[in-house]
Amino acid sequence: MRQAGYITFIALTLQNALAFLLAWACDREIKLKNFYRLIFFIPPVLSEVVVGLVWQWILDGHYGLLNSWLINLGFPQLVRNWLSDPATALNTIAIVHSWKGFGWGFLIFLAGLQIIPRELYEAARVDGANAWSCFKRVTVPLMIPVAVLVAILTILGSMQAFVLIIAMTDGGPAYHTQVPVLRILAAMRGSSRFGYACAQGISFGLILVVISFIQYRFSRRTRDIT
Amino acid sequence: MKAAGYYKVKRIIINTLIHLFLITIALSCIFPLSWMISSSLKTQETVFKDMSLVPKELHFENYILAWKEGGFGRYFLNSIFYTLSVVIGIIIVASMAAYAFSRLRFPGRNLLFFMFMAAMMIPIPGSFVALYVLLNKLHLRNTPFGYILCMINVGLSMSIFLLKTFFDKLPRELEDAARIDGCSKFGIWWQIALPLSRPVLAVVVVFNALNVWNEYVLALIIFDNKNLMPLQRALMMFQGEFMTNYPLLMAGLTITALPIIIVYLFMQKYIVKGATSGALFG
Repeated sequence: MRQAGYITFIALTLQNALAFLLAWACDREIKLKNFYRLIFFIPPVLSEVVVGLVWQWILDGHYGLLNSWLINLGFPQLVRNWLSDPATALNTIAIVHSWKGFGWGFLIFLAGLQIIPRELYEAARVDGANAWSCFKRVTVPLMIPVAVLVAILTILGSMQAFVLIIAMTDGGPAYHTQVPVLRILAAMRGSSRFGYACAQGISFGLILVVISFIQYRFSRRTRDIT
Repeated sequence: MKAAGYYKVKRIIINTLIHLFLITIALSCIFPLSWMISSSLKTQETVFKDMSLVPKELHFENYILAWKEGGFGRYFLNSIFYTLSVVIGIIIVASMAAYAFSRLRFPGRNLLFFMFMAAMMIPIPGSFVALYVLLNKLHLRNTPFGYILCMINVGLSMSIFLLKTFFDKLPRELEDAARIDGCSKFGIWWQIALPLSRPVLAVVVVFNALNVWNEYVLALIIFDNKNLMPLQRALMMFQGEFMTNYPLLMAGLTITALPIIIVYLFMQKYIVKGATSGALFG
């Protein structure tokens, strides 16, 4: 549970900050906007198995690309076994998870930014606001409901993330990347304790249902985005 | 004049910085994929030494090996078969159900619809143990039919929701006209409602197809028989057995990922639409 919470925390901060920055950068009149949007949504459409196995290969301790780059760039002291070192395994997984997920947040943020009426910015300009106070007084207040929505979706998605973990570390090293769903699976397949696994599943499911219910209440307010 | 020039320079600098930032992130999105393809074209000897993105010799035989010896041809066909069956099943059931929810008046209609929507909230991790036991009792575990039924069920709620919102907006005059011309309820559904809902159907089809193709959890629970496995499950098995044969594994990954990327590039509009409306249902 703590590990899932940690992954969720990283996803909430890092992934959503990145998603928002990208959406904000894409919201202005720049060239190649559609191209960027196309690219940023590639990781989310790939399956977790594919993403997990490719990253596992890149991060491999002995032959991985990342380590060989680190050596070539002159940082041999940074070389490590990213996924089987207890100190880095969880962080690495959280980052790969964010890499896979930020496209969602980006899309929703961008949709939210684009329905802010341009007149509001113009009015603020006429009243003498500079770029920063435009952002602070117009963009941020209008984006708060969207941000809450993205945050809840991120929590839901990250708490359930486990296929990626199966593909990359399978809960190891020594349970350092264990998450609730993996525990349920282990109780079911490993020791065939179905009653126990079912109880775990239901209590975990209840938590998620509560979160989605909050999301349902919020999405009523933000439904005009799409 | 000087002020105008100053603003112009400032704008160019800001734009360049923004583009740099965007391009860096975009590169990080594409790079792992190109590395996957590049690794799949090396041999078992060169893959550990050659760190260049474009290998000197291209070894396409990895794909033939993976397709034949690795069994990916079989898994690929399995995946295609499951995806097609599930999508067809969802279209039939969801469009009929959505049409009924939108047009027919019958007792318990709202309750039933609410139950469908509530089912969408129950996450898979909360239910797969019960599902496993149920399928075992019904002798549907380890059968393609059981898997297809489960996957239809997974995609149903959202598809019904999307289609119902669309049908609700559809003008009733068309159907009235058809009824006057002597069309049955079923005929109206088949000849008027379905053809008109093509744009939403496209979203439903593409979104569900992606979902089934990428599905792993249920495939893990349901299948023990290697010959029935879809690609995602087979990849994990393969990785367990041939731990270090990276070129072959990467070829398998490419075989799995490429159809998705191609579909995505062509159907981007529908996928994005399905993704956002799936996230914002309600």
